[in-house]
Amino acid sequence: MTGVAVGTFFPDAVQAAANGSFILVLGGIGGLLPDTLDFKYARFVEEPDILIDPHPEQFQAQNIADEIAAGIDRVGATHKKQILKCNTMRLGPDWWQQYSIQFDTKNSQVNVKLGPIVNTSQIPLPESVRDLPEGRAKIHTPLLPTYGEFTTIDIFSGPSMALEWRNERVEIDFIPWHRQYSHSLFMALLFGTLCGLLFGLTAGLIGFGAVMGHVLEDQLGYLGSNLLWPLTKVRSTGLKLIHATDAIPNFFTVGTMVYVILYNLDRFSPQPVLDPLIFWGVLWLPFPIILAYFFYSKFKTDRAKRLSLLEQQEADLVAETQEVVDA
Amino acid sequence: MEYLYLVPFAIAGTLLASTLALVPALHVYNIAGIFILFALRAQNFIAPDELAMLLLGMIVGYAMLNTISAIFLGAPDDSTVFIVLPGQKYLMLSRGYEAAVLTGIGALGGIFILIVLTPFAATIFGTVRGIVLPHLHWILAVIVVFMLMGEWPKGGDRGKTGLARLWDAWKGLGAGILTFILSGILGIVLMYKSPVPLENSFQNLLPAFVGLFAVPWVIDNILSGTEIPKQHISNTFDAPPSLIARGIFSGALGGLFAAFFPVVTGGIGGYLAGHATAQRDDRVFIISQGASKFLYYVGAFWLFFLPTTRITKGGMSGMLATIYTPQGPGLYYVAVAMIAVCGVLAFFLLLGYARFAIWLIQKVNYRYISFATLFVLVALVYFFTGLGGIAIMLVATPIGWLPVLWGSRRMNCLGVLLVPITLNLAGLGPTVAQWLRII
Repeated sequence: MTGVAVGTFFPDAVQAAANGSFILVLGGIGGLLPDTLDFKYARFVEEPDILIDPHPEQFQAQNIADEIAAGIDRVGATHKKQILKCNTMRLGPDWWQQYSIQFDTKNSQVNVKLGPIVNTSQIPLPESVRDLPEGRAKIHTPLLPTYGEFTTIDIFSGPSMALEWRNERVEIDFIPWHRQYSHSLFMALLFGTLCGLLFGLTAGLIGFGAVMGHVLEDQLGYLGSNLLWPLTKVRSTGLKLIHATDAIPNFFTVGTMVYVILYNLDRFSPQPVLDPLIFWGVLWLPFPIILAYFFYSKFKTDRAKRLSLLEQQEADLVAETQEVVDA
Repeated sequence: MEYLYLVPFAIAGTLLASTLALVPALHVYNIAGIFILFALRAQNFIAPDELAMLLLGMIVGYAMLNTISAIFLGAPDDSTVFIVLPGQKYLMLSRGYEAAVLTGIGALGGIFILIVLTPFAATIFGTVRGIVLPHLHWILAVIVVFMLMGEWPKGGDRGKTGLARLWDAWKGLGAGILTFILSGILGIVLMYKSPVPLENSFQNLLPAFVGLFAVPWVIDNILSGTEIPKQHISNTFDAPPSLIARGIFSGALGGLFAAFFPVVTGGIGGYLAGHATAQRDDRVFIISQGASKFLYYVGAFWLFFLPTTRITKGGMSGMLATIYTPQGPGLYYVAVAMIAVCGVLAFFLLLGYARFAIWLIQKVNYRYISFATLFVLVALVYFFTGLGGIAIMLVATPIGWLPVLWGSRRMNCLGVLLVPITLNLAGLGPTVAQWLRII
């Protein structure tokens, strides 16, 4: 939506669109491009160093915990990055064997446990939990605090994590392929140039602006992106204002973008009818009020929770990936 | 008081449609079309305002109760296709009744939204229509882009090389894109050279929808030998008020968008609004789909009664507009009141019919029910559209089966509407039809 809204700021594009052109669709494509590249390409070409590929009938939680803990210790010893990939266990067209892993930084151990059989909607099959022992393996290398809850692995594709030596400790970086080059200034320039070469200057500016709109919106969360790729190698910290799954900020953004689109379409039409004072001063007013309420509630909750930044970033990544699985 | 004589017509419409809604694939528009043809021939039998209220009652009853066949018989149409998955999930957890009630609550919320919007609707929808009218083609194209680019891979874990994993992941995505393209071509063929006889042209899309949405699901139920667990009829439901409000709000956004915007169905509207408000809870989703499909059907017909800014969107208004124009604001407010009365009545009918459907699926083997459903689908297509319709259904069924086989989104079948209409709005429809050698 943001990509399309960016496009409507160009009067010639709006006027061309009113006469049958599809130029503003480029804004929509550009807005979706960064996540498309990540979730449809980057995640599959990543080569894992440690592959957890358990068999449902021979599931050994201890072996898995040992293998992951050994991988973390290996990073501690060699200071070389390792990619850990956990595969899912498919039992049939609609059935999956669930298992979970946890990085317990307080006790310096990896915990692994078997879950129930679930269907593709992640609903457990009643009485399908097998009474198998949990796996617990000690880590002998210091860990940076990370997402502390159990990460569930059940349907479609399992998650991957980068185990990386940073600040004399091992950092567990969830979904390392996400928000790298695809969410950078370079990608915006590349897509903008491509659109410009194919469809002209305005199209190029729309393409650039649409990708940048997506990237800048992502900076509002806990995890930013690798904005200056290839000059930088790590994902920056975001402004920590919202989480990826927060309903109200999502609604605020989409709602506001709809208003921007409507306003611009009207503004650049032969006979504008919208009064900016009423449109923005009265009709749009509920959106910032709801957003203010959201930030007030969030401030109260955050004070009570006190989670570390890294934990919140990794939790955000897990939630965003889960959202894609659900979609 | 001058409009009081219209009440029985609206209630009769609801009672009639609520029964028809139980028959899988029998769309309210199929029957409404027959009523309108009948009214044309027997104008002394029913006055235009009475016919309008009868149809209004019918669409309210249908919008509330078409959930039953989607959840309990697994035979959805274009607007209920999103309810089937969570609905059948609830069914497999013995909570089919609860799923039906949740959609009903969503629909009641939809009525509340319509009532709240009634005084401002003409200004809001009239203004927005004026602004977006020249831009419909690209907005529809953006929806298509969002549908296709927003579908994520459901595989790709296995494979020794990155290329092998990429291929595995893209098989499903490719099937989704192929489904969209094939259903789009089918839509263009139906628009320019439909084998459905001219006198039944208002039923043109029925065989395509049955083939794309209902038949593959029913055949899947037959082949997989689905067994339904014993259902629990609860007196309470697991949804706090805040969650209900979120579902209704999200569904209302989608439903009103679909009611107003050409080609966008209640399912697509609900899907878009769900993304806009980041809804993930199953209960919110089901409630939102209930609100969305109710507002899609009823809202579109409600817009037809708007004084000064009459908007003709949807099959019912389209058919009625050929013989009738509502006069004055009085009838508009009567229409809103009738929507409320008939909606509440239909909600109680929903509770009863859901119990009946549960009784049926527990008494009769689900595979037999699926066979009977399939028979009804084929018979209805033949009855309304003849052999030409059967031919369309036979072409549409394998297209609709692609998503079932590859696990891609069934929504891609809506290319049957989105492609030809988008092309036509951009003035490209005839050119593409010529490329395809259809005209």
